[in-house]
Amino acid sequence: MIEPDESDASDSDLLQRVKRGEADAFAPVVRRHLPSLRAFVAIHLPVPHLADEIAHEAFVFAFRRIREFDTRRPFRPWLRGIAWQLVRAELQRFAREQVNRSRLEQLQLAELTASLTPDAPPDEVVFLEQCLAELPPHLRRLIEDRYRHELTAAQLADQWGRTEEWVRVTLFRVRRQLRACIEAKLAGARHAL
Amino acid sequence: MPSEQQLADYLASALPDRERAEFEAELAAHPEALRELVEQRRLDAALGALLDPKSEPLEAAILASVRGATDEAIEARVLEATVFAKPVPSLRTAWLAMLNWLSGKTSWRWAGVAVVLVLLVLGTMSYWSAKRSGQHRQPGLELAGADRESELVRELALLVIEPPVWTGAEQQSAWLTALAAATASGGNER
Repeated sequence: MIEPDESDASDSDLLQRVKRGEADAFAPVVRRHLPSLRAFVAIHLPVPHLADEIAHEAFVFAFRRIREFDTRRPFRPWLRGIAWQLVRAELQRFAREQVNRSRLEQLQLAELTASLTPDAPPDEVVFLEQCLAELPPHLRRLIEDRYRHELTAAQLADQWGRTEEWVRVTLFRVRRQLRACIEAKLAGARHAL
Repeated sequence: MPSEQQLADYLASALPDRERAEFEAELAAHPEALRELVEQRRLDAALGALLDPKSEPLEAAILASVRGATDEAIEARVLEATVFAKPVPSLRTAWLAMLNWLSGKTSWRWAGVAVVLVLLVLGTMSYWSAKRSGQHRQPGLELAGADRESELVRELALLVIEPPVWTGAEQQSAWLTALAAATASGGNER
């Protein structure tokens, strides 16, 4: 899954150093939080280049406003809050420009914008990581082959000795299973509150 | 309701164009299928971002932007100390600047020089005449040595480096007079 970060220093220590002007101390923080932040943005704005742009912008914004951050608090929710504001702004901009989009994209956009709330939503990516770890090994391997090794459906079909249709439907089902797992964990978290 | 295979093929962009258009038309009538597609796309994008092995370029871009903020501050300080600093030219620089300015092709510059020289000669004659008669007084001469010279050089340099935009003969004349006065005074100090 996510590569372990080589730095043992805590976010708090690193960010205090950043506050003192050591820009290099921000590098391990970026390395540590980039995959989950990208995933957080992507889950709410599933357009790859936009997800990267927003993740980029969120980190730069966080760096420039680091003096406002209380290093005794966890960094991830603060960063996620910044990214969420950027996602909302981007979706609202998209909504204004949807005239030339296909009917499906309009409907998708309506679904996404309807879910917008002022506060950042729960961190589904934490649950996604947990749910991935809970998958049966062969399905986990299929996911790894598809997303980490970026194999196409044709390559996967060849490797797994199946048809491309099987690969597409199986990936569809695994994602559905992951979604159900995340929903269950979110419901559990809400119940615990 | 679209089938699971149709949804999976559609997501993977594996439907031919015609089927795709028909599928989209059908989809509009099935909000639950649309919801499924949206959720699938979200998961697909999130998995892609989370497990992407090629996040180094993005990481590098972020760090470049972050370090760029510091570089901007440095650049601003450097510019403030150099480009935007008020010039304090040396005597040599001032004369070189004036010669450079005079090397332009405009004939009125040489006409200006001729006027300056005439004024210089007249001024010098007037000075010696006044000195002989014991009536000469020039406040600028109360300053002596290097201080007076540097002040004159600054005045001269400002006149040379930033030649005024003339709108009439009167202004041109005033400027030439000032230039001549500065030159003559400086000459007297040496």
